[in-house]
Amino acid sequence: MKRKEPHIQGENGAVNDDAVVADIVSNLDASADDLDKQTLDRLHLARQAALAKLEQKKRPVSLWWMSGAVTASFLAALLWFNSFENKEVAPQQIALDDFEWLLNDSADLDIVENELAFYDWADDTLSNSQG
Amino acid sequence: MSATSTETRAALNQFFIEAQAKALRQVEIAVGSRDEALDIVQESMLKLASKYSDQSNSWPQLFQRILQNAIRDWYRRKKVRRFFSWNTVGDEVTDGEQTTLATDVTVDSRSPEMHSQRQQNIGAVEHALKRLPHRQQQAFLLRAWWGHDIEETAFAMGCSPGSVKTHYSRALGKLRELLGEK
Repeated sequence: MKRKEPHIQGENGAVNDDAVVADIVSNLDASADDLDKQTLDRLHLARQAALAKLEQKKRPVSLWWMSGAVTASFLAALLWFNSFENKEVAPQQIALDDFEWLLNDSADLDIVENELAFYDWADDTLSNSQG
Repeated sequence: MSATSTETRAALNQFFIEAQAKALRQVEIAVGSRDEALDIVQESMLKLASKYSDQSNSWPQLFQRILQNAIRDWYRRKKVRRFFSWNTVGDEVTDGEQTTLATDVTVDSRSPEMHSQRQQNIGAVEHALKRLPHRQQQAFLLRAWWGHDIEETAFAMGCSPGSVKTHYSRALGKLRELLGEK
């Protein structure tokens, strides 16, 4: 980068400040020119990384909209299928829950058979008393 | 890629090529380590490219502002590290100085006497600059080496133009004193 002339005139009134500044600046320039290859390579990589960032930033806006729309549609479809599946499955689960005791517990089945005999007896008794 | 973005990329690349070596040396003098300086310069380049690529007229000022903020953050982190591990701080500065010397020695193809004299002069200037308080050091580098005017320096350093004048004046006085000793 081309250096502008330093603005030092009249700031501290010293006559030989120019010479001191020029000496310091020439040594700093020399130190910047003396950078080794390894350091220059790393600076090159840093530069490339920064320029790559520039391309990411310049990515067309329509592409962002497109990817956003696809993601939103996917999420909407996922939600819709989930709600549909829940509605279908729920009644089946309830029906199975109602009859689970009947399928799993044989003792309960005996009680039902005994109670049927009781209801037959009660029915007969009631009809005889009315007759 | 559009024509505009290609032009921007080329212009930014050219800006980085012109500024990178000076920026690296500037940060290296501030933090005392080439590796740390490389990280800071890379981080600053990334920030400039990602946030301010459309402000090409202000790239030099913005880049300096970003660099100054990154150096300030580095000092803050260093303070925290020093708080938690006080015994490693001295080693870091020594490592940085050793890195600088080691890399400088490997590159020069001039005669040994010229090389030696040049390295001594550079070393003396660098040593004097490192002895300045940070704000004075950066004000001097921005004004004298980069050639920024008072307003640009004030913007980069985040202070008033009056402070820049004071920092610069004190830095110059101190440098004359330090370099007059050699």
